Order: sequence, then structure tokens, then C-alpha cells
Amino acid sequence: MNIVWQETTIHTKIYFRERQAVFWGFVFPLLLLFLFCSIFGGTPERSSALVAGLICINVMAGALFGTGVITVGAREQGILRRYKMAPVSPWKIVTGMVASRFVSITLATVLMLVLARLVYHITLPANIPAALLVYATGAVMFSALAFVVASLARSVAEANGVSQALFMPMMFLSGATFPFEFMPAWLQKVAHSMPSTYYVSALKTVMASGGGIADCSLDLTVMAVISALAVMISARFFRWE
Amino acid sequence: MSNDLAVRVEDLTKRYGRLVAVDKLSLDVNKGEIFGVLGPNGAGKTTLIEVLEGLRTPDGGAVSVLGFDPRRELEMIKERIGVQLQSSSFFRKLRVVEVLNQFRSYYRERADIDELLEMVALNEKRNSFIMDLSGGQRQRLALALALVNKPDIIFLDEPTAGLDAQVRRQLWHTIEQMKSAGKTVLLTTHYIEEAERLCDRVLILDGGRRVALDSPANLIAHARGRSARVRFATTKPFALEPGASFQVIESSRNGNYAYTAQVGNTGRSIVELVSAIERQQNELVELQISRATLEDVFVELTGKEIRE
Repeated sequence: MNIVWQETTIHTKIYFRERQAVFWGFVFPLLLLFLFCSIFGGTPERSSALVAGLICINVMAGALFGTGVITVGAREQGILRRYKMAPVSPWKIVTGMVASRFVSITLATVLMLVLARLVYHITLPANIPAALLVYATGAVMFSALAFVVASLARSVAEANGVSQALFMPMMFLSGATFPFEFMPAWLQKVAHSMPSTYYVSALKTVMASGGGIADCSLDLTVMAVISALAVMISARFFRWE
Repeated sequence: MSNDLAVRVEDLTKRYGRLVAVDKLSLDVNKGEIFGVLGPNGAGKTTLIEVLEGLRTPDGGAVSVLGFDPRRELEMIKERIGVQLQSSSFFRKLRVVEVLNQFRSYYRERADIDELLEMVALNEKRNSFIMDLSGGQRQRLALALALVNKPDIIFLDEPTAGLDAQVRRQLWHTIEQMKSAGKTVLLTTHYIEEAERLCDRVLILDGGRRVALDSPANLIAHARGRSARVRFATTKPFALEPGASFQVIESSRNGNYAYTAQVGNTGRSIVELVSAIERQQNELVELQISRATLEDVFVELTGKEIRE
């Protein structure tokens, strides 16, 4: 456990020392918040739904680009190879890397919630444990998916391309940006094949509608299954070099 | 396996597809020695070292490191070896001391960070980011990382590749200190001077096969017949006499007449040379015998130049 904690600290340090990462992780989501809420917001209810979507976008981007692509980059440069030489189990290192990204994403999320509350008067979740569970389940799912990308991509360029190809449709079609109801039926079907749709749905349930765990049990189950599959695939295919 | 052996390799074969990288190689590395693996690029040096480190699985033969089999007892080996990889990269925004502490924490035995920094002369850089280190400093950090677990054997893959002469000498000094501390060092190199200066024994590897294995002095002694050179200068032109046991391969003039001769039997040739000079009523003003170098041995044994 000590090593997991140490890796979490180290990777958190690395993250906050990179200005670019801090821009995409903190400044950019807040810009999106102001953009979305001033264009599409209007009422606190609509703003709350938008913030639910933004949380999903932030978690997706943080996991796919912050964990996945960065891990492939570190492998490409031969940084990860050194871990292989040491008597340390890989899962501890990986857990630390994922946990450190969880820390930075969560800080950004809290910052976003505070500003959205102050400026757009969004409703805050009534059921805090349910909200935390939903938030964490989605974060775990996207971290695991990011490691699937990192396991299968052979280069940074490839990881970047695959991440973009996953990120863009999930950003636009999962209800994170455009309301679901405006989409034609076939597009809604496409949306229902995407992991982010379940995350956004659960986030909206706990944030905007004041729901509890029982109200989003289907979403939670789907996310748990996707996470388990993704972890299995990563464990099978992930390489240090 | 005897207790004095650090590494044993028996009939090791490793292929990459059709390419045979290491071909039925056998060798022993004694505890406490600096063992060099010398060869041109592609000779199989890195493959050999990676099999010992457990990074690659042999296709044939057996290896043991400190009595452990890398295939079955890798975790035991990892605890007791130190590895410097051929190319070392780190997260650029970590500090030197942070990287050392991080890797040190993975081991049961842990070296003192201050002593390590002292040893590789990175004390002043302890709080610098990796991105601000020079190539030589990174290489020294990699060396320090190989020592964080107080290893019994240290594997160094081309430890001074691409470094300038001064940094290289500093690193040699550090490697010699490791030996004085009782550690076994196994290093690969394609710098002849490095092998000659540092190693107790040198394995010459070519095309994955063992060409020679001996101390640098013995290797040179064997090749001396062909490769010793004598440089001499006379006040008047020197004429090579028919039937001489040596050949003049170079001549030049700066005030005196200077010659370089390739000699067979050094002693006999010198006597012959000196009496020829006397007979010709010439005067010898300079005489210098240079022994064969490991480089001459290498060229003689493999028919190749070692440089890239």
C-alpha cells in the first residue's frame, strides 16, 4: 500500500508540474462551463444538467489523454521499462498512476461545481454518497478504458488518434452536450452503445433530479461491467515496453 | 554451481525469427570481477545481458545469476542485481532525488541516497529536474539507480556510450569503486579502451559467438606476434636491409628521420634494428616500442573494425 501511495504522490507531482496538463485539466473545463452555461443554461435546472455532462467530459478527457496517452508516451520513451527491472508488482504502479489522475480530475470537478453553484446556481446533489459512488464509478470506468487504449496502441500517435475517435462522439452524443431528446431514434441507439451515455445519465440523476443509488442502478451496473471487462483486457495486453 | 560464480551461461542460444543473436554461448563470471563483453553493434551483447536480467527468455541452454534461474526465480534476482539500461529516460519533471527515492523504495535492501549521489558526483544536482540534466549527468543518474538496492551484481549496458572523454573517465572511476566495494560488474562496450582499462576479463563476441575470453593482458600477449610496433628516429636516412625480420610501414621527416616498423618478435627485431643502424654508421636518437592494443587483437580475431 505504501508503494501505491508513493506512486500516487509522484504522478500527482509530475502532473501539476506540467503547465499544459494543468491548462487542459483545469482552465479548459472551466472555459467550457462558462461557454455552455451562458449559451444553453438559462435556468438552474438546465445548468445542472449541463454540469453533469461537463463532469463526464472532464473525466473522459482526463482519463483518455491524461492517463492513456501519457502512459503510451512514457512507454515509447522507455520510461516504463525501468519498472520492469525492479521487484515491484505492476498493478501497484498502475493503481498509483490512475489514483493520481483521479485526484487531479476530482479537484477540477470540485472547482467546477463550486463556480457553477456560485454563478449559475445549480442544484447540488441531495444524496452525497450516491453522487460520490456515481462519480467514482465513471472515473474508474474511463481509467480502465484508457488503459485498454494504452495496452493496444503501439505509439503515441495511435493512442492519440484512438482516444480522439472515442472522445469526440462520446462528447457529442452521450447527452453531455446536446440533449438526448433532440436526436433521431437511430442516433439515440448509437448513443446507447457508448459508455459515457450511462455515466451522463447517472450523473444527471444524482445531480439534477436529486436521485439516489436505486434510481441509477442500471447505469451503475453497466459501468461496473464495462470496467471489469476493460480491466481484464488491460491486464492481458498491457506491456511496459 | 560454485559459490564463487556470479553468473553462469551454458550453451545459451537466442533467436529473433531467423536471426541468431546469441549462438551456443558459454561463460562464467566470477564474483568480484569486472567482466567486459566487447563486440561491434549487433554482436549479441545486449541480448546476452537482457537474458541475464530476465528481460528475454533463452531459446536454448541455461543461465544462472547468483545461483538463480531468471525464468523461475526472477524476483530473487531482481532484488540482488542492479541494472543500467542502454538508454535511460525518466519523467522529465521529477527531481534527481525523487527518482532515486522512488526506485529505492521497491527493494528490501536500500542504499544511502547521499552516498550514491556522492559516488556519481551528482550531489549538486540532487534537486534538479531530469529535464535540466546533461547527457552525462543522466547517465550518472542511471548508474546511481543501478545501485539503489546495494546489488551484488551490476549490469551496465554500454555505460559510457556517447559521452565525452572526461565524463567517461569519471564513470570509469565510479565503476572501479564498485569493484573495490566487492561488487561484480558485467558491462558491455564497444570501446576498446574501456574494456582494456576496466575489465579483469573480456569476452569478445562476434555474430553471437564467443571469439575469445581472457584477461586483456593475455589477449594482447597472444596477438603480440603480429601487432607490436616500433617507432624510431635516426639522424641520417635508414635503409632497410634485405632479410630483416621487420617491415617499415611509415616514414616521415622532421629534423631527424622517423620510422614506424611492424615487428614480429619484438626482442629479436630490436637487436637487428640497432645493429643495422650501427652498421650503416647512423645514429639512433629515438626508440619507442608500443605494445599491441586490444583493438589490434579484436581486428585480428574478428577481421572487423569495432567502431560504428
